[in-house]
Amino acid sequence: MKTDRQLFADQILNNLQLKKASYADVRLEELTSKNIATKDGIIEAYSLSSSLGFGVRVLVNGSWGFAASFLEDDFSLNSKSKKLIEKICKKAYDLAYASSLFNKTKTKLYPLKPIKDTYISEAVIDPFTVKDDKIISLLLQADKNLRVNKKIKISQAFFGTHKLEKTFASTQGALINQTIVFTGAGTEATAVDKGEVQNRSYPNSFRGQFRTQGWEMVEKLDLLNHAPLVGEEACKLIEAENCPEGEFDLIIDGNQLALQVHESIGHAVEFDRILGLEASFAGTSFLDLKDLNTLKYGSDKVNITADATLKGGLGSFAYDDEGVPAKRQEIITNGLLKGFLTSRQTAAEHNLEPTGAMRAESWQNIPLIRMTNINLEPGNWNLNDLIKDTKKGLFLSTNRSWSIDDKRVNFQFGTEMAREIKNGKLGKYYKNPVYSGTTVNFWQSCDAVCNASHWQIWGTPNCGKGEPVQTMHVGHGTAPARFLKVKVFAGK
Amino acid sequence: MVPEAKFKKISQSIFQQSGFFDQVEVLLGTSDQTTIRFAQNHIYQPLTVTSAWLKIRFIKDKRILVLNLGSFSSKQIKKTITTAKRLIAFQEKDKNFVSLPKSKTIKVSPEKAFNLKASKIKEERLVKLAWQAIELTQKKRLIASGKLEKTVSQLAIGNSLGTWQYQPSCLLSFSTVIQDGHGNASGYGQSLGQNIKDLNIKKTTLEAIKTTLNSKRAQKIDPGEYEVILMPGAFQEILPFFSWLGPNARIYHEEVSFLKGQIGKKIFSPKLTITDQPLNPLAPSYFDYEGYPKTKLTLVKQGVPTHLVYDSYYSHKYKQKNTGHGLPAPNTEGPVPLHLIIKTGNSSLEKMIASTKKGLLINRLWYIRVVHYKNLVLTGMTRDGTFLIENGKIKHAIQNLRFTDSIPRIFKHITEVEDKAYWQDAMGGIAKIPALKISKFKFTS
Repeated sequence: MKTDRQLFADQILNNLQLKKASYADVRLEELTSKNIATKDGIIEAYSLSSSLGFGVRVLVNGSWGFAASFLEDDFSLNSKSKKLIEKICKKAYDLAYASSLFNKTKTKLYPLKPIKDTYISEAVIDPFTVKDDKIISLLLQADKNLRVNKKIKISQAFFGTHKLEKTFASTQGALINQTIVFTGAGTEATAVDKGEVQNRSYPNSFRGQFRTQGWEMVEKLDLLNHAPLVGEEACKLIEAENCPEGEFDLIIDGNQLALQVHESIGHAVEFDRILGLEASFAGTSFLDLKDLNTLKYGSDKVNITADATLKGGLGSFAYDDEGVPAKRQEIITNGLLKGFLTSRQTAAEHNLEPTGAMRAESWQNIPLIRMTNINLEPGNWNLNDLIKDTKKGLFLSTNRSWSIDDKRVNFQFGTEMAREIKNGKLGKYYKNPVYSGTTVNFWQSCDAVCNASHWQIWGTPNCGKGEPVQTMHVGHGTAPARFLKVKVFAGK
Repeated sequence: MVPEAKFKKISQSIFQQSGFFDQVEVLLGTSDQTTIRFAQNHIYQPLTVTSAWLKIRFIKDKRILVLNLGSFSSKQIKKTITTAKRLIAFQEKDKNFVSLPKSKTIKVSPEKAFNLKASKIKEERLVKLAWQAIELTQKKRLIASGKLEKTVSQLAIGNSLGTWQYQPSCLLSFSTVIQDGHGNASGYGQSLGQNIKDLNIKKTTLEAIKTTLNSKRAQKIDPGEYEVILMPGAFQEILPFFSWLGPNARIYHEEVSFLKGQIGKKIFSPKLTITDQPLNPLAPSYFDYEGYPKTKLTLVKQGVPTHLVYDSYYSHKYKQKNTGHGLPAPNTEGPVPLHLIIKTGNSSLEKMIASTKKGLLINRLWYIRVVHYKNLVLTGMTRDGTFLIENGKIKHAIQNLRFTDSIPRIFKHITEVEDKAYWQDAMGGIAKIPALKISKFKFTS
């Protein structure tokens, strides 16, 4: 027996107007989310949200059109919802048709075997079943534990969880149901003294760590026991010297390296950017199709994969929003560029394979080429040994600011803290560290990557792209790694 | 569009079902947005989306809870109120919360707030208009990307103290990046309007084409400190950081704002005057997200920061007047001014260029982020048209540079202000900005 969702999708795909299209797909999505934030011992924000709707993408005479609408209650078919379906299908068709009157080139699609499947991401403890008093008391206690002394003027703790239930169906016969739950938490202490302000976060800045997991990931973070150290480090940074200026060998912590991979590799290998399709806003890429298998992107130590099949990664799923199965692919192998992130269209038009990277933020967005989990594969160093092996350098941890040009070449990152490395030992703290460089030079300067025991997938829940801007959740598996002779200064 | 009467009925029903709570606030809205994205001389992603939102803030014994719905379903609303009654007990009391604001209803003139004719422009016509930009570009053997967008929206806010506000709006926007075939030269243009004519699609596209043609054969120059002319499309990327992290009462009182202790002191150039003008003709905003009336407020007068902005929560907490700058609850950012207007000066772009011995003209900035919050140090890149000026003339295009400099220093070194200003998108708001000449601006790579 067909579910309400199947019947709703059928109604769309059997719409008479869409029958005239060469291809159409539909996504029915329901998003539920809960976010709690404490600040200075009170709950500053508690919000519970839900959103339900559908989006129709249609290809007419080689041109795309997309239309979407919210729904009132559920996906049941009645006279009102049938009328809405009719209206939305017409809008999508009309837009595609109107565009086809002008467009000179016709969109091609990579052939795809239609799949029928159901996937549910793993959450040992469903975060929506955890009682609010338990979550709130954990956050308030963590918030309190951050305030180690009077210099801590702002203490904050965060929790967030999202559940996305979506159905993808196409005129080619695909029918895929996916339920994906992701969860995150973190703490942040702000010390203010002597006209100086310094922050320290755990386990990462900008609301912490996020994974496609349940409440178990929050328990594992052990926010309570880490909080005093977070507060102490924020205070230490107030007293610390500014980061020295010059060229240094850097050991970059995994939580910062995740964003470095994101900005200077992940975005650069998005094939729509390479083709100039995002030129007006998100930008393009310094890469070209001819760079594939020829460009030495990094040193031999640099191995990058795109892997949506990884358990628990924030960019993990079973199928993308075109119904392409998730996969693991090589992006950079021993420093050599080996792959791009593609869609069915870009793959068909440029003799590549679709990589399962077309993702939309929600029912109201058209899918774009997005990152999945883009990972720096582990090397063979133990972190302590790597520090011992470094005569004069800096250890940098936890992102504070990030910026890169529209071609993904010239970058600059700030981190919350730096530690001096002198003759193989970690030394004093430095505040306001900033490092900068250019993409290929930087990755070619990588001479060591730490091993799997230091490797974890960091979640980036706020990657922006497209117009209107879509925010995507992606992952980056990283371990600390060393980069030689990088330009460093104090951002103050 | 949902009639105001229906919004009112939904709100009344929520208030009636929420007698358990001390106060309740309802924020409702809809949006019909059509975006015609074009790229590489092709209509790439034409899309149209209808969305709705309903946000309810419940308050009981100083405990606060916000629940969001993506529809106005009476079944979902009933379920939401039942959930709120259960969850509110888990919240901690916020001793700083005093009350939601009680405001008189503002009679919004529909003609001022909303261009009915523009709101009815068909999607197919927008496609045709976007194609005009492509056609103009193709004639010059260049490549156009960009978007033409129409947003028709409405917002209603009510609370159980009797506040009720409603406003429809319609805004059109156009932006384009023109590239040469190699992607080495590019130019940018954008325009906002309440009707198609105001968008000046042809003029905006031709200006971007001109910038692209002038951007060819860009040369490399060394980073360092330069005199710069920031075009409105460049300064629009800097100004929002002042909005969000400058006169924001939350940040100020927490002592993490660079303005702390500086109100009333002449810390910027006397050529700089910034006002928040929510009742502007382009996109008037009559009330904030708590339904509190908005008025014009001077934030910087001839180089002197004069006022901070407050919402109901921070005005009670710090015993100041509410200035009507509340964001939707739960607001963890603090109050923010979203309609900044830089007062025009008496210079012109031509005069600014002519008076520059050695400097840079910057058409657009990109990916700006905060490097140091307290000092409001920013970093970002130039893009889509950067030029070297020597001896009063534009000499040639230069390759993109990264700046790292602070808002206090940039504002301090404004030496000339253009006599015309242009509407720009500005991170969640709009701004009217003239070209500005800055005598010292640091580039770091």
